[in-house]
Amino acid sequence: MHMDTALTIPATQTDYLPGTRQASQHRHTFTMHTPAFATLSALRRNIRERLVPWRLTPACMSDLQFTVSEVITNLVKHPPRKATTVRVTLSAEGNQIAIDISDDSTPFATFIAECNTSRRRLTQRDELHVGGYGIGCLIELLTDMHYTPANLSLDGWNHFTAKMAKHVTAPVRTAAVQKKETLNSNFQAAHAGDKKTPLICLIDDNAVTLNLYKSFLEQHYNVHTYTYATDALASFKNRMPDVIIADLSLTDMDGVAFRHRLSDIDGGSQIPFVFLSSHNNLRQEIDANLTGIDDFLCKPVSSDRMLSVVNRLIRRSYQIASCVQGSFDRKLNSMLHPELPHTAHNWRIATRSSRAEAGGGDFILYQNETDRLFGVVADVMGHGRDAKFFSCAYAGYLRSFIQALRSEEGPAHFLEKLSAAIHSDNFFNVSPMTCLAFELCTEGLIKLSIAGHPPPSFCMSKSGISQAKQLDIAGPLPGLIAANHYQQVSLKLEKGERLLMATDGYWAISERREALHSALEMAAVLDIERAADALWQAHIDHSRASLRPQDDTTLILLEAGGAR
Amino acid sequence: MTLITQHYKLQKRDNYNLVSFAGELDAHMVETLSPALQLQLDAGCSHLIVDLKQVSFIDSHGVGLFVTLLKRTHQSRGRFVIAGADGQPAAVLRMVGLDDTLATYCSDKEAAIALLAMAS
Repeated sequence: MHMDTALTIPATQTDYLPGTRQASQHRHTFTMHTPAFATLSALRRNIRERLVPWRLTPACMSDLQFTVSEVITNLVKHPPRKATTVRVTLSAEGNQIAIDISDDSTPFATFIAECNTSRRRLTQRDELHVGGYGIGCLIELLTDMHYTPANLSLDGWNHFTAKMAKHVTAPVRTAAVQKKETLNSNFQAAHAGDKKTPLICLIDDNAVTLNLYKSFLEQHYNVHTYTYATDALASFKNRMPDVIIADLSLTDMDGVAFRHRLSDIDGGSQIPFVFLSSHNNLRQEIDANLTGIDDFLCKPVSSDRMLSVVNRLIRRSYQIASCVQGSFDRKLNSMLHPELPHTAHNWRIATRSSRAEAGGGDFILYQNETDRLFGVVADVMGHGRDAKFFSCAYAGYLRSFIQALRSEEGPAHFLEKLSAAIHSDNFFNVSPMTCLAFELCTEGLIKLSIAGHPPPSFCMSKSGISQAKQLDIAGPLPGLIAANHYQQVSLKLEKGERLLMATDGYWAISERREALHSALEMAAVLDIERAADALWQAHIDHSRASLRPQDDTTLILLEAGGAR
Repeated sequence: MTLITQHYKLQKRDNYNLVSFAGELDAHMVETLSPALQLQLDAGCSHLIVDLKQVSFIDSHGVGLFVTLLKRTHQSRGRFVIAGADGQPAAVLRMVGLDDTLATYCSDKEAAIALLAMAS
């Protein structure tokens, strides 16, 4: 329905700036003679048609039409002497639109006061006024709003000037560009889990409602909207949302069925879930609540209410996750905490270790016998909970191997048996592990074999001069082939000489082993505990300067000859 | 009973009135339709649904009309709800904060169900 199809604006023109034709596309002037309410619709239509080349988004175009319409409505309605002519000049200036509306009516004397009054009316929700919303809306939409009365303007006209954000639609895309965008979109979807901003999934078969609720949340969260529950379920394969808000009545399945389908997905039942309902239906609400949801919202839902519920659920779920994960990690860490006795068979031993917050997989096992201490330092590759889980599994597995080890079997034999066992075990094949097996004997004798593990460093002192060097020893990852063979090195250390064994987290962050060798040489004069502290501090200093992700780190400093 | 005018359609149901506007609800349209509409509503029942599904544009006069109707329904202990607001009209309602004050629904059917549920 058009009310004023018979009315057109008497004179409307596009005013070109001097210069190139391209420059003229950025400025348009619309002139209205004897403006009236009845001609505003035609002006809005004219603006929409003329500004097609600007490719404004529908929302931006609506805001612009609204702005012009409101200003001219005031010019028609309020001045004692009505305007005979109004000129509207719209200029595209980068990402803004400059608006200049000039007229020849009686100037507004109280423009600023009107602005202030309208602002208060907008925010005072409990006392509704019939009028006054126009200028209030302009304040919301515009920036740099000024009013220059005729007596102060250069051309003798009143000028209302302001700027508004210019939002444009995407340009027409070629097939190649579309393909590239699709690839980017797929990549982003696949890596959406990397983003820190919580993801809210909104499901409602009404597109209007979806857009409204999305607008409530999108300033604070990533929001994905779906009109079909099956599409939402399919999207969860890429990334699980942090909160799901679903209408009880969906097109392809009802909300309760959707909730049950979600619970069948791994981890689905733990996601905070809110049902939306279009009306108060007690039976439906009872059925929904029985599915174990976190909240129930009856439409219409205000932006404050929706944000409040989502904020609460996000905070609470993070608290619970952190609490559960923290408790789980503490138990695992205490089980896997790398520790060796301080002395064994005339050796002094200092151990330092740190655990990555998100997981990691270092552990030490040892068996102290009458004439030797047999030990294993292991590092399960990977980060996070998976590595932690496999560390536990490996620790139990290796413990049984150590206990079954015969006294004549040394580190190389141990690794060969372990490697063969892992090779035939599909479970352990999933997560590789590096391993260092050692045997501390009396009189400074140590036997070593390594499987994919960084080699230890040796520090000797002669005539007050210390020298550190890396041991020339290597060995393949356990389980790579059916019959791995491992080199075994036997060293006999003099009293006070030291051996530094560490997991990959220590060497990888330090990167320059030479620097750590220098630290090892300088620490030779220190007691072993203080030397271990110094070496650990060197590692921490390197860690701070490094951008590498944190990993479990274990350091073992051995000194032959017992107490100094 | 249904009353169809140039600018709106008024349907009088058992428990509520449904007014469906169409086109652009701006100063000119509000000035034109408001007196007749209020006269017709005075004779009707207290609950009112305003359907904006066919409305493509509203300005501050449109907002003012809603507030006028809201106050009238409240005075007669009735309820006032808006249905089908989308695009620019929905954005304006949000901008002036009226979406917090007025109950809004996706369709006139949803609004009618809610109205009856609230009244019962």
